[in-house]
Amino acid sequence: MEQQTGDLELLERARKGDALAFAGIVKRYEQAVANVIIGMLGNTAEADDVGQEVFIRFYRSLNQFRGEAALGTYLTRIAINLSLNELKKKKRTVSLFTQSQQDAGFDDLSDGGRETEKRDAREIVQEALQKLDPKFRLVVVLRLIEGFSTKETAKILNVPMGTVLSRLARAQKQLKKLIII
Amino acid sequence: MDNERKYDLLYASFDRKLTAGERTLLKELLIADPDLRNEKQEIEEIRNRMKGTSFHFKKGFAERVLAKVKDAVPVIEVDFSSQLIALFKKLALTGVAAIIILLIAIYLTAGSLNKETVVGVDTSSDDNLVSYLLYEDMAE
Repeated sequence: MEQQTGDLELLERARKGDALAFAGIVKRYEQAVANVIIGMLGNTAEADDVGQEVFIRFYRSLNQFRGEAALGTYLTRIAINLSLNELKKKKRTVSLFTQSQQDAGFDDLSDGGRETEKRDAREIVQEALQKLDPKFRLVVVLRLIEGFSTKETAKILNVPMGTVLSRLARAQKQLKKLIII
Repeated sequence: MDNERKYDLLYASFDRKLTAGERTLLKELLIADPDLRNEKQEIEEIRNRMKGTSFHFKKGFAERVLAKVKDAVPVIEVDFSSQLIALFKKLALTGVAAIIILLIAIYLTAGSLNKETVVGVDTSSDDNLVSYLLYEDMAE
């Protein structure tokens, strides 16, 4: 609630052209947007561009934001849409890249070798996420990384709660195989 | 209970509130089935890893956004219907004002506001018109 009041204040000021207020919004939600975009696209140069695009689009539509959804949810939705667009654009390139990774022998994350132990935990999660189907990846990012409730996740994705639950279960089964425990 | 349903119940327990019956059943299943207990531990491990993960953009992200935003022009939303209504109101008011001024002018010049003066045609003046025309001819 306090966060929302702060958001409204920043929004009002940003609408009047206060650049510092808009910077406040960017800083406040940069992390959440990064979680969604990097979770979906991986830590790529495109991820940074898409992240910037999220806030630029939001800036352009400042006057259209009516506050029906929380600002964080609104920005998350923009981030999801832009990430999915980027994935569609890159589908061909990504599949070629994955193929070359497999050819180079980087596919098996659960090899149990020393190489994996050295990896940064975040990197392991990131690589495992990239191996999930985007629709499973999305529920993992929203529910398990961003911490939205199952109900909120269903609302954001506009799917029934049962779909979120089944996608989560399937995603976790796959993640178990991909991540060494 | 078949294996699939056991595991479904276990996975669901992480993401939705189980009923009292489901909770009891899961508790019993976990006591009886070591594989299910193991699965539970693994899911918890995965979820903890995910929960502890956060991704970051490269340093200076906010500054890069602000630099780009300076060139972006906020879109001002135009509500066409309300603009049209506002325009119509202005036109209607102007029209009413013009009519009132016209009526006052007629009253001041003609001394009354009857049908003839307003319309500008004197129905009883057909004879006058004829004599006027005749007078015009005679004058020439």
